[in-house]
Amino acid sequence: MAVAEYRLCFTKGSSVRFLSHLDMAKTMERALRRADIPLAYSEGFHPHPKMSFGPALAVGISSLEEYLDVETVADIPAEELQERLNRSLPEGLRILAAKRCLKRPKPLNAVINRAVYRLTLETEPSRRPAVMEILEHCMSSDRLEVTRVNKNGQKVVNIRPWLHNLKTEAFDEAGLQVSVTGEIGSNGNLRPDDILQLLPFPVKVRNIVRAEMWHEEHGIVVKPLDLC
Amino acid sequence: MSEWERVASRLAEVNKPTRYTGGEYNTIEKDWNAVDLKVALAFPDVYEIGLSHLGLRILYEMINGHPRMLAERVYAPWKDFQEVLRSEGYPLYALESKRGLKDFDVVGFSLQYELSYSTVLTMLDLAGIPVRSVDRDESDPLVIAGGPCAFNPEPMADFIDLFLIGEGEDVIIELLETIMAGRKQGWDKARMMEELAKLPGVYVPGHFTVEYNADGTIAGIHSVSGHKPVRAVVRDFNHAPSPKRWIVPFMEIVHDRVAYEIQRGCTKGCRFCQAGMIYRPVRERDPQVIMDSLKQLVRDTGYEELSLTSLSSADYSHIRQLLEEACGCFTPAQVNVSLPSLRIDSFSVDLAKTFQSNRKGSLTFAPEAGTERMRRVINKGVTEEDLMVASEAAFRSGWQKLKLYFMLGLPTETEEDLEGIVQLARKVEKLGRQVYPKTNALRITVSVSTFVPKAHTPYQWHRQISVEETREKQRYLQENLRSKVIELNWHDPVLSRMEGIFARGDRRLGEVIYKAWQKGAGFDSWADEFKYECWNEAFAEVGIDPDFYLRERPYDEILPWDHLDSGVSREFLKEENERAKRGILTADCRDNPCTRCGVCFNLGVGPRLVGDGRG
Ligand code: SF4
Repeated sequence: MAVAEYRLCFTKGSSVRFLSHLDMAKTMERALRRADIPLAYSEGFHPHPKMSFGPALAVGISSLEEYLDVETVADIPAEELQERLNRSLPEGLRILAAKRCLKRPKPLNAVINRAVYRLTLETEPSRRPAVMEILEHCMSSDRLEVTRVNKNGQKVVNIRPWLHNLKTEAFDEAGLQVSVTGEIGSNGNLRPDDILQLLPFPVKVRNIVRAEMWHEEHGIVVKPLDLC
Repeated sequence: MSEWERVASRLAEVNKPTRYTGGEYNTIEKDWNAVDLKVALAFPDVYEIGLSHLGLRILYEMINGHPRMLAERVYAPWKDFQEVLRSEGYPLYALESKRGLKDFDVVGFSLQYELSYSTVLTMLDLAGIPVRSVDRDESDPLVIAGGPCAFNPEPMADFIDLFLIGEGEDVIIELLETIMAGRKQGWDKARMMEELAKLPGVYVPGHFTVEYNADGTIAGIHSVSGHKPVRAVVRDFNHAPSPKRWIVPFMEIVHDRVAYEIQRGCTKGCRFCQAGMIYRPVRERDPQVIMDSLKQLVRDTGYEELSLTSLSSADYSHIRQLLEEACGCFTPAQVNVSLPSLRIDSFSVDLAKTFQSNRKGSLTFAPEAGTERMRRVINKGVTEEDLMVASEAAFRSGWQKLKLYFMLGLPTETEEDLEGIVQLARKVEKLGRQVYPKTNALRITVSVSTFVPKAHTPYQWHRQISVEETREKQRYLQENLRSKVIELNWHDPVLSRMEGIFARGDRRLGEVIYKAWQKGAGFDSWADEFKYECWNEAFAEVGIDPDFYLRERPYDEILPWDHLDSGVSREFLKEENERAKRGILTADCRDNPCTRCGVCFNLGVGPRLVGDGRG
């Protein structure tokens, strides 16, 4: 029987950005076991630990803010759990905060509906002004069409309703920094590379990081750790 | 962006990218400036197979445990990533430091199966290392190899500077220290090889010349240095190193669990089994040593499964107590304990009951042959009754799926023996139906492979059946095993043929491997990747008839591996082959008097069983 539930916020560094969702689940489970944190398991022939992650992250993207809920069969102070788990994690994964939930929280996937991605783009100097201009125009457009490929073929979708914010910083040696806030979850998904399709020529993506996630309703922002 | 980051930025394009990133928990990354000798441990197959291999894990920790050495790992990149490396101009690298293999002093390959040979060439080439030994000098790493294939390494003699024959644990450090000293003193390659050849277990193929008769058989094998390579052996297996910092991969691997070797060697004496000959004698670890190690491994890995491995774990003296203790200790912590193989008896089914509360999976028995006569021939003293008793016990204990393993083309096999396989499968099926009259879940899987005679076994002289003969036998089984319950599957006979050619081949095959590889061979053990045409063309161009290596060989013919001493005497192998023909069983020296295979005397070791006073 689970006696405590924790919500963890962690980073997925660039060295582990290729872990799939499944790899991540196994890696966390084993780290929790190494840390001697007694997980609650489901019943049945194939008991699995009661843990659930927030919105999936595409393979190859690192993150400054991921979320995980775990249930345990022992009541451990959250700081102790965090410290023990950090000692057991492989390099690249780090728990930033742990909170013992006050009440049974709504699942992460049901509450998180915003994600911020930071992209670093690279293009030849002559094209930089054009890139800047197109991107800066996104927020004032009514429609932004991109092509999505799925098993039924190609589909053109309007991503404008899912784009909540887009900011650019000036080009420097590192490239162009773009910060995109998009919808995530059951009401739609903005993919970080969607905006690349809005450009009339290919640019090189040097890096994509998921920077933040939260719940937003009627303009009010609540962080997942404040929802449990 | 570092050079490697440029490669990494393309990893999202490839299948299973964590094969190539390193950084797994418990890996060891040592400072390159603080050591004098750098070793790359290479496995010529994909990551998930290579990391499943215990031997390299042992060596990895031993070498990294040395204050002046480091070891890193490298596995064969799949074709998609080979493309990335080639297009980025980045060499095949070791996972820890991301440095190309050329930066290492030693590259050591584990040769577990013959069909990985061409992949060794692919890996060297991707690393920018000349594939042929004669084309490498002091500026290249020393390329060494070990594993069961080193007992007949002749087909790879052109590519490998030095083979380590036998168990590496007792000799690897001395070998590497000699290389370290030699590098410091600036020995050239010839001098280095001379010194290394003096060490136990070391075989330098370049120190031997082979002469051939007009009919292609070997006229003589001459040692230029005068050394005769003898297999290396672990004398104190109880205290021999076993991995403590068990690497926990990110992705799922083939054997995704902690594996702990509870004993080494098997003396049951199955006449077809190479492992049963080349890892003699039996050496058991103390239960206390095992339990202490298991506890530490489970704690430091977080793994949810552990396996008590060996060639025949059910034979371990105190297996029941050990298993009960392990289950008592780990099951409450949600860690499954398992044995890799079972004997065909109710005792083994009892053991399986101890560790498998979930009986939804299958239980595997390996009668190997269809009739009692045939099983006596191969020295597998299992009776039909044994199989029936064990199967019934399995069914009654709740298992509904059984797997039965058989071999085709064993010496003296007749149609009666094939019919025997059918009969056995039918009887097990009937038994299953009696216990489970109604269920649809009842499943008997009959798995057949082609017998491949191996070097240093009693069957090393025997002929291997052809692809056509195998297919005929497979057809026979297919026609006679039609049933809703029985599922028949088999190993691709063409792959068995290739395996057989190299298993008993000589060094003239090096040219064939080279040519086939140039034509695109690689990952030959992967049925989808295997390119028969490349091999056939290569044989034709070199002018070698592959069937030459599959034929029966007379006792007075010099075998390509005759200059390599496994410790088991040739007389014993010959005697065993003769006894086989007459269907006489040879007892296991585990609980019977010594049958004088020669290993203990020749290598200066002895069997070690826990608590019997023989240790
Ligand atoms: S020499 Fe005798 S005791 Fe030693 S392994 Fe061989 S048969 Fe067994």
